Amino acid sequence: MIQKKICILGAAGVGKTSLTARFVFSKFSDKYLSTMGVKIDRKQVEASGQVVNMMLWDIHGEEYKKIPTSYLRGASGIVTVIDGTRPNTVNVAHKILQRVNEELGTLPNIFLINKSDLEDDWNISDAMIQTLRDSGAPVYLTSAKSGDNVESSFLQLAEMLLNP
Amino acid sequence: MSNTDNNTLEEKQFSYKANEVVNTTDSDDNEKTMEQLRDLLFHEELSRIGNLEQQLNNLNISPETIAKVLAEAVRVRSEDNDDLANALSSTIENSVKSSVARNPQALSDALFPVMGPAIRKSINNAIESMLQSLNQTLEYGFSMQGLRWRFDAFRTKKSFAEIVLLNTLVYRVEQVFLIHKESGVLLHHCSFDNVKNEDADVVSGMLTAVQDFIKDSFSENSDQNVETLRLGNLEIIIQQSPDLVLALVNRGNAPRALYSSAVETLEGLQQQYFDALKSFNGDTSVFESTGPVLDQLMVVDYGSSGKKASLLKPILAVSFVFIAIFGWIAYDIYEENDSKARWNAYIDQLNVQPGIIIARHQVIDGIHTLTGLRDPLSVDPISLLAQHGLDDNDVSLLLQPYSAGQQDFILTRIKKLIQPPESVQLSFENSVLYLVGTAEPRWVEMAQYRAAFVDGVSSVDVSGINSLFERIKAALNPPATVTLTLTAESKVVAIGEATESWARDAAHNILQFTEVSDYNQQELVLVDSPEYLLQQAKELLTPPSEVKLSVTAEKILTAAGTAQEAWINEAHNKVKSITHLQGYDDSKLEAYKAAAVIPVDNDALILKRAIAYLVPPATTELTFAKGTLRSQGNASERWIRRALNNATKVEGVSKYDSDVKPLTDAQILAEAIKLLQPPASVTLTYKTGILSATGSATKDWINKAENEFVGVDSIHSFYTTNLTHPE
Ligand SMILES: Nc1nc2c(ncn2[C@@H]2O[C@H](COP(=O)(O)OP(=O)(O)OP(=O)(O)O)[C@@H](O)[C@H]2O)c(=O)[nH]1
Ligand SMILES: [Mg+2]
Repeated sequence: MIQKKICILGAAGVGKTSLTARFVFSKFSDKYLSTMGVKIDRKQVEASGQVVNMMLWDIHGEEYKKIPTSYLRGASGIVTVIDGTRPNTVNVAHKILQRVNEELGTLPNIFLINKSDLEDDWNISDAMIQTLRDSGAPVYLTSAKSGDNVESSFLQLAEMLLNP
Repeated sequence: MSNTDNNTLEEKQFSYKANEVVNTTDSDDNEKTMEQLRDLLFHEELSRIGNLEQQLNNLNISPETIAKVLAEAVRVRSEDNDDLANALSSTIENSVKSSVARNPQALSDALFPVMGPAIRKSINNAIESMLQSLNQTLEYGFSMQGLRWRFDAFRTKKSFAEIVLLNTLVYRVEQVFLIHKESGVLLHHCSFDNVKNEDADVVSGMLTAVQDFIKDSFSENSDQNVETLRLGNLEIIIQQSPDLVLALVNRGNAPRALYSSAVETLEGLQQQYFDALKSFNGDTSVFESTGPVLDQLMVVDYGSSGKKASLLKPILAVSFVFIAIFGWIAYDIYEENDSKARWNAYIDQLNVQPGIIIARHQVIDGIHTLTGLRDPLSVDPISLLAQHGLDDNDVSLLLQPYSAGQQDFILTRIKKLIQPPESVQLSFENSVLYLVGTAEPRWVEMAQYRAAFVDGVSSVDVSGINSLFERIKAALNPPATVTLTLTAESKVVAIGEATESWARDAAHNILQFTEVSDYNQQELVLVDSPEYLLQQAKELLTPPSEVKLSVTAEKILTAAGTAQEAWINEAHNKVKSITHLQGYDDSKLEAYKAAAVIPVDNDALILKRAIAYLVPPATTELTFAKGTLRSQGNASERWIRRALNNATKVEGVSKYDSDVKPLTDAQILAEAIKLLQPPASVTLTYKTGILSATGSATKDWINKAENEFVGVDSIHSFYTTNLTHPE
């Protein structure tokens, strides 16, 4: 079996835990329980005809405490989460990725701009999305609440991991 | 009497072992540990508030005032920039550091809730099935040892199997994890009962994360690794090589020798799999062959019986006679000596204490050595010495801690662990813990989580808990159209639709909850407010521009101006459907005279306006006639939705008739091809928002295409990684 470590990164409260829970357990909760340290979950998927065990490391938001390098080490892929209602979380995402690049080198990455169900509060311009795209990583608008694009984006990452 | 057979060969062997491994330290500072545990679990909140409160005190501002706005302030500030967070995080890190340095055990206790379930789930089942089979095989077995245990069981009213297991099990390696150090990926896992641990891979990740966390948090010397973690009754031995981590989960106290065989195994594996480890890409199948090597670490020591029972059989037969004779003599000697009788009385008293089992009593050089088990929550054996006229200098206690199954013990243990507020009653029945009363959801969640770890608790029933949130809901009694939320910062937010009077009452009733820091109903739509009624009336009546609508404070809708007769009549009927409206006054409304000219907007102009506003793609055609905007053709789903939402916002458009079909994948692809003009050497494919290119193309074309693909509305990502270029 193939096992891949994937780190879910991003500012606090952007929905890392919610996205993981949606993907692994098909569940969503309105409650915000801030993650401390790391929580690991697993989901088996099929990609390129192979079974892959995605080990999902849901890590605390960078603001609370610098993410220890040891949490990042050994990762095969990154999910960078942004909150579509808070433009500042784009900057946090850029900063985190820069650190990941410095410490681990470039890894397959996808950007999830989350909370797409909150249309009225949406606050991310197309130009911002374009700068994310410019980094070469795919960008998805997701909603952990409705489940929109969550599964397909994680599957896309699995594909990227198997066909580097 | 049962304690007099203390000089047999078999006893000596066992007591030697027991002395070697039994741990006499009596960790009774659970209380303190719990403090620290709480500290750790909520350290962020606690230390943030603690630190800020301290500063505030120094400024002579009442912390109570500030506490109300603190959480919000922290949030707002960190949205702005990271300064505050940076400042806070060093404080938090320090407080974790010092707390961990004070008591490293507290840390593993704090992490227990995260890792515990997965490890324990499988182990609990294993123990249970083991107890069961022991009960069967030993129930009818005959041996001296067996007889004595049976007697102990009868005397202490504990299950025979429990006595046997606890008496015999010195230690047992129950699970072995072989982990890829860098990624935490599980390479191989074995368990002593061959039960597959479904969560082994998750546990494996957690084990490495915990190690790193501990190292980051309090180890000054980064080469120093954590070798042992204690989780409840379990001990986890962790050894590391450059690329591997080996973790042994065992019950009981393992001898040092186990550490060295772990190290040896690990070194062997590191060497043997050197290449596979260096090129590890997540494929674990290579490591299945480590099974036999790891199996050798699954050792178990049942003390004097168990594995060695067959060897001992002949000796047992002999010693039976020996004991019979010796026991007789010994009994006589006891009778002569009054102190022996006092000791017997003392031991009998200990044995009837819940949570204490004295398995043997030996006198070595005048020191009375008592070996057995003791629940940390039971009475202190030393405190009972005086009653029997005995001296604590004459006694040596080798009591292994264990968890007694008694109900009130379980309950005491749970209480220590979850610290219920006064408003919550606990009861325990048929291994179900019931919580009844009122408590915060956060606490309930924590309690539910942790109580489930206590041995003997099979489930936690919180249906009797009335949370703060439920009390608030009961007091505010929101209509079905209102959603209340209680945030982590104890703010209550009301969203939805309600009447003004409900909102007024709610704002008043919430004041009784001193726990609530803030109440926010700004997002509430007040369905009977004049503003809302006016908006509703406008939407419903679509008044022509010559009519002015207004709603008075008394909720009377007035219409003034001129309109067509038909509109006036229609309006008159329609307003009745607006609930909460108290009346309709159209006395200031005049009908157009027959001769009046109705000014109309130019159709072509309106269409132009609509096109500018909606920006239809080339594949969509808009037409406009008689106030109705019509769309035809194909467009992205996003455009279709946007048009539906916005078309009637265009001045002059009163109706929108959408007849646009979503683009098919083939159409989107065709559009992309038209836009990007790929050379013949490139194949484009499209699926669910992703456009992929394969083949070969010039760098220029790739760059251009990467910039332009966003021109096709439906495509959000474009993959060119599979493209090669000739240069
Ligand atoms: N409406 C909406 N809310 C969401 C969505 N995803 C997350 N949330 C909410 O946002 C809050 C934070 O979500 P979490 O998943 O805990 O965020 P996180 O990134 O794990 O936060 P940290 O662990 O503190 O870093 C919660 O209240 C969620 O219910 C979403 O897609 N839509
Ligand atoms: Mg989280």
